[in-house]
Amino acid sequence: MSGDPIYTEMIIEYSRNPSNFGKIENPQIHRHDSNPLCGDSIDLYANIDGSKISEVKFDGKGCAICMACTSVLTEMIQGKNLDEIKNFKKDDLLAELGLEHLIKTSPVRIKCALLSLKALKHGIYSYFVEKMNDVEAAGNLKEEAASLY
Amino acid sequence: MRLELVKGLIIYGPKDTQKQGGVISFNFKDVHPHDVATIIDKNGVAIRSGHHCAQVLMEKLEVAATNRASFYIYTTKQEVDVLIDSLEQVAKVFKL
Repeated sequence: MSGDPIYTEMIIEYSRNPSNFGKIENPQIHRHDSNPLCGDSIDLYANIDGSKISEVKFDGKGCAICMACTSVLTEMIQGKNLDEIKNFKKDDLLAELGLEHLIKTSPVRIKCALLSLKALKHGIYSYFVEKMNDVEAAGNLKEEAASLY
Repeated sequence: MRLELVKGLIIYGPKDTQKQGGVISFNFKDVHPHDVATIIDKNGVAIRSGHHCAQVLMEKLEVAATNRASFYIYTTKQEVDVLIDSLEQVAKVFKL
């Protein structure tokens, strides 16, 4: 399947050897999310230092797209400011793996690609609301997460 | 059954064709069923993948999900061959 638009070398490599795979004990952010109809299931863990993501890990099971996208997302957000992550768009993640076409060519797989971003946005929302008591800072993260796919 | 001869294929349910209907659930090595189904689909044969509304059974089987191929009187031998050849392609894509 050389030149396949989905199963590129990068996706296969990340799915077989995911980055930042593991668990953080007592993390400041922990969010479990799943796509119950297809079987993708991940737990995202992160710690915040000041206003930056100092550490991020994930574990779980999922298809190659889910594992690759989650791996890349964790790489992309490491060390990023929370405001930058609030502005992080789904296209940023899809473009990193050349998967922008999925929206049109394989809409059913979009939920695999964006599960981790949904978990991240929900996780940061909960961090702002529950740990920082700052609903204003959370903005519309919850609505954004719910409308990703 | 030619499917049984595919290396790395795990078939769930009875192997006796007298007891097994035309609906066969399977997994292929450790490749997630969605990826298997997508590659087969690209070759023109559609199968189902996922929990099939049987999440409790998936937990019992300790799998994330399964593939499920349904055969009936309108299924051609050529389509079955495409399905099996596609599994070889899955192994190649995932470097197994």
